[in-house]
Amino acid sequence: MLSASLKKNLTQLLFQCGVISFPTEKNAMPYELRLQNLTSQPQILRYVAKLVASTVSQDDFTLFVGSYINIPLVTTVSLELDKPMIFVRGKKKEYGKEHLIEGKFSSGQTAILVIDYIAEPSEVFQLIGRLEGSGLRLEKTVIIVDLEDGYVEQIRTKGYRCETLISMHEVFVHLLDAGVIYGCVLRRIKAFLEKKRIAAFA
Amino acid sequence: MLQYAQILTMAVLDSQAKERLILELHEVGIIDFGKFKLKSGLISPYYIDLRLLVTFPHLLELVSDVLWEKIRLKPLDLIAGVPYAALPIATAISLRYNRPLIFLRKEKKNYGKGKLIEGIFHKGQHVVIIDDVISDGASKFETITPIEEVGLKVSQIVVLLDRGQGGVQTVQEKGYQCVAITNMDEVLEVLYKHGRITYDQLSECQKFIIQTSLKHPVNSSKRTHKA
Repeated sequence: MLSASLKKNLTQLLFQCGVISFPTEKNAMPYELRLQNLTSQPQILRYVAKLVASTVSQDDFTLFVGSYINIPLVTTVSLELDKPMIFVRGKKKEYGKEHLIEGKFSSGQTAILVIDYIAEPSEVFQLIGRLEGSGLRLEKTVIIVDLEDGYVEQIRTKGYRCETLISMHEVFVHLLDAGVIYGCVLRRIKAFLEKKRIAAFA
Repeated sequence: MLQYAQILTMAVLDSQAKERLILELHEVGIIDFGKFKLKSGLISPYYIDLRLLVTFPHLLELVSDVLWEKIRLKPLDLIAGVPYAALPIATAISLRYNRPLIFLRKEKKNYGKGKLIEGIFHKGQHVVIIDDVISDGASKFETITPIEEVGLKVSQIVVLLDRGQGGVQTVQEKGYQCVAITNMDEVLEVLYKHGRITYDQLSECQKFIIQTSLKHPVNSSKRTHKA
């Protein structure tokens, strides 16, 4: 768990580098989250990697793993701690020595999965399935932003340890505090999330 | 103006770093010898898998240092990484030399905003494209085209390894700056010099390179082979 001041700091940086934005066009989502934009400010990317590193300091593991879209993030964490990394590609090629999992590893090793946010729990389960299918053991999963749509809970329910750096709720609270967004934006977001939650159960 | 001795020292340091890199890549098995089936169906006596770099963070840093010596010579606002192998390399360069990174999506999302280029960029910015290898050069345009389509300028393409199939020339002929840090001939030469491969292995590999480069003649205008 990060301290409140670290979370406040993280929120500011995420907003500063365009990871979180509030589109004003009509019919747009009230907020947008693009963690890929972290690569535009290497110092901020490094800061996030340091925070990820701090959450795994007590863990016993051999390597970091990520999906291809998180390659920059996981590479940064790997360089920060000088620990090996592997990545899972979307599709396997039929020629050469290309594998579904790229990088060197051996069966029985312990891995930490790093994810920006969970867009679809089934994708995470597929990824975990591929890791376990290759003989790797998952020590835990570190998720940068918890969207609080219950997806992190779904992963936990299956018996996997998860740690999140910050939740969307915390991000909004800090941004409201800092005067970046106003109450009306927050109300729009709340209404939007409520609709999403209802849709999820329908 | 630099003194001749200084230039010479720099060149020696450059080639020392390069030699060290080649030896280390061989040590961890990124440069491997044996029998490997290629996309074309051919059996190659060597294989270079730079995707394995991610398992060796210290090598990733060494590669980024060696590449930087070429990257820093041209205008540069953004570093562009090509998935998969070059993306970790480009990330390491971006972090080490503090330059923003953009990257191409290999697998386009079928939901949400299906952007082809990730990261923040502005029209007119100069981009250096980083890639791990170059074969006949055709696949480089799959990167150059989308980058130019969004209004960015490709200032150069820097590649770690030239496979010796005319790719660098092909890209240059289209009007782009393209440099490779090393090529297979040099890799083999260094490994042989340090006793990492036997004379038989050396000549087998050299023979293979000549055969495959004849299959993809440098000056052929009909370049149907797609990487």
